[in-house]
Amino acid sequence: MSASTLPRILILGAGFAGHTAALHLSHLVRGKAEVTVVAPGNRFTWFPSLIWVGTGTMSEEAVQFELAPVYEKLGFEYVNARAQTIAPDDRWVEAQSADGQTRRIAYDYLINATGPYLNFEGTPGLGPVAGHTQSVCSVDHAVAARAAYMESIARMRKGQHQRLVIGVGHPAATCEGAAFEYLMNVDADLRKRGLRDLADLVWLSNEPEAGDFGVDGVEARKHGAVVTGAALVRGLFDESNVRTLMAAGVTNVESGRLTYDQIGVDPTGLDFDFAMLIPQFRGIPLKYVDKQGADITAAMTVPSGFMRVDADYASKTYDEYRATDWPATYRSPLYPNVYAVGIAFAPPHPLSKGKKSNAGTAIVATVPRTGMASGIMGRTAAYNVADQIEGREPTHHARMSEMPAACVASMGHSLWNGSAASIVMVPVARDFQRYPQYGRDLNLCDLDVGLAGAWTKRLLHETFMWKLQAKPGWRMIPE
Amino acid sequence: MSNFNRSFIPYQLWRFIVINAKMYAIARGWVGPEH
Repeated sequence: MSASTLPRILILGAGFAGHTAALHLSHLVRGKAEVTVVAPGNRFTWFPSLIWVGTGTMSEEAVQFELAPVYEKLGFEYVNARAQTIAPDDRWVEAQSADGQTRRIAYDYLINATGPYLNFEGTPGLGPVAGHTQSVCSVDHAVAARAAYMESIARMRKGQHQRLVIGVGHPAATCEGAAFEYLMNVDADLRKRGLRDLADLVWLSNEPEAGDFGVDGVEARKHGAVVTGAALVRGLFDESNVRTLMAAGVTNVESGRLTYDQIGVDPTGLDFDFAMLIPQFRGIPLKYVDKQGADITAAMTVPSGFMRVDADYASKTYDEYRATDWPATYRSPLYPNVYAVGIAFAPPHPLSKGKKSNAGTAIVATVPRTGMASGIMGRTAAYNVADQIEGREPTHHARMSEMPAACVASMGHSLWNGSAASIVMVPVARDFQRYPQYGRDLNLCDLDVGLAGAWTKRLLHETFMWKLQAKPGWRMIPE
Repeated sequence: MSNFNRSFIPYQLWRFIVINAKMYAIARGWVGPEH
C-alpha cells in the first residue's frame, strides 16, 4: 500500500466506462490523487467490432490493445485481477488475480465499472461453452462464432441448406443492436459468397417490434416527414429476405433446436443449424460487506446484480416513467464516495414496452448501455470524483434522459460496397416533459442507411482505438 | 431512401459529412440537452 497522503481513486473495470473514467482522471486529478485500475485480462476490447470478428472479416488482434502500457503512460497503477468483495464502510476492495492470489486495495473514491456478467445459465443450453449456441460478447466467443459460422458455410458449399438463427437468447436480454449487426453482416457475407439462397436467416428478438433496439424505437424527421426505425428495419428485413420472430424469448436450447415463448402464442420450438444468441446481462457477482463483515449486497444492488445509484427505483407503469427516474451523477445513495457506471449501474426501468406471454413469461428488451453512453457515464463519474477531491459537491450530470446516442449498425464491412444504419437519438430515454410529442428532439435525431454508415463505422473503430490508447490529441475525440 | 442513393458516392459523401458533424456536435454537447 502506498504511504502517500493523496486521495486514492480505485476504478473497477477497464471497458468503455471504466477506461474512459481513467482517461479523464489523468488530466482532472494529475498530482492531486493516486489512481488504480483493477481489471482482469490486461486487454481493452473494442466491442462494436466483434461482429466483424464473428463473421471472419476482421482479426481478433485488430479489436484489442494492452492496457498496462496505457496506464503506465498515464501514471496509474494497473492491477490485473478481478474484483470480488467491496467493503464500502472500511473502503477497500478485494481482488483475485488469475493465479488465485487475493489482494486488498484501499480507496477513498470508488468507480464500479465492472460491466456485464453474461448469464448463459439463465437459459438452459445457451452459450458456446456449456451450450449449443454462439455469442459475440467477448473475443473468445466471437472467434468461436466465426469457426461455427465457417462450418455452416462449408456445409452450404456442399449444397446443404442451413438455418441460421440470430438474435437474443433470453426473454429479458439486451444488446439487440449487436445481434442485428451480426445478422446483417452474415446476410452481406453470404451474398458475397454466393450462398445466400442456401441460408434461411431468422431474426429472433425480445423487442416488441423490429427497430425497437431496447430503446423504445427511434424516429427522425426527414424531408418534413417523420420516419421510424421500425419501418426502416422492417424494410431491410424484407429486402434481405430475413424471417422474423418478434416479442419472443428463448427459454431452452438443445443441440439443433431451441424453444421460445412469444407474445400472443403458445411456446413453440425451432430447429437450427447455427445460432448466435446474445445472453441476458446481469451485474458482475460482487459481494458487499459492512464494518462487521455482514453481507450488504442486497442493499447495494438490485436483484439482477447491478448497483443502485441515484435513480428512482420505485415500481411504476410505462405511463408513469419520468426523465428524472434516471440517475444524474451515478453515485451510490448509501456511500457518497462510490459510483457505478456503464453496465454496472442499475437502470430504474426498461425503456422498451414489455409484455407477458400466454405462458406468463415477461418478454422485454432491457436497457442497452452502448459504448457512447458508457463513456459519457465514465466521464461524468470522473468529473464528479474530481469535484469531491476539490471539496465540492458533484455537479456533473448525464441522465440517460438527457444524453445522446449515436449508433452505427454495420450491415456489411466493405468500404466499397458495405452499408450501415446510422442512428442518432437525442436523448436516449424519452423525456415527454421536454419534448411532448415524441419524447425526443426530432430535429437532432437521424436515421440513415448507406455506404456512408460503413465509412463512419470504420472511422469510429480507428479513432476510438487511437483515443483509448491515450495517443496524442485523444481529448479531441468525444465519447 | 432509394437503393441507388445508398451507394451513390457523391450523395454518400454528403451524408458522411452531415452525420459525422451531427454526431460530433451532440457528443461535444454543442447541441441538445446539457450532459
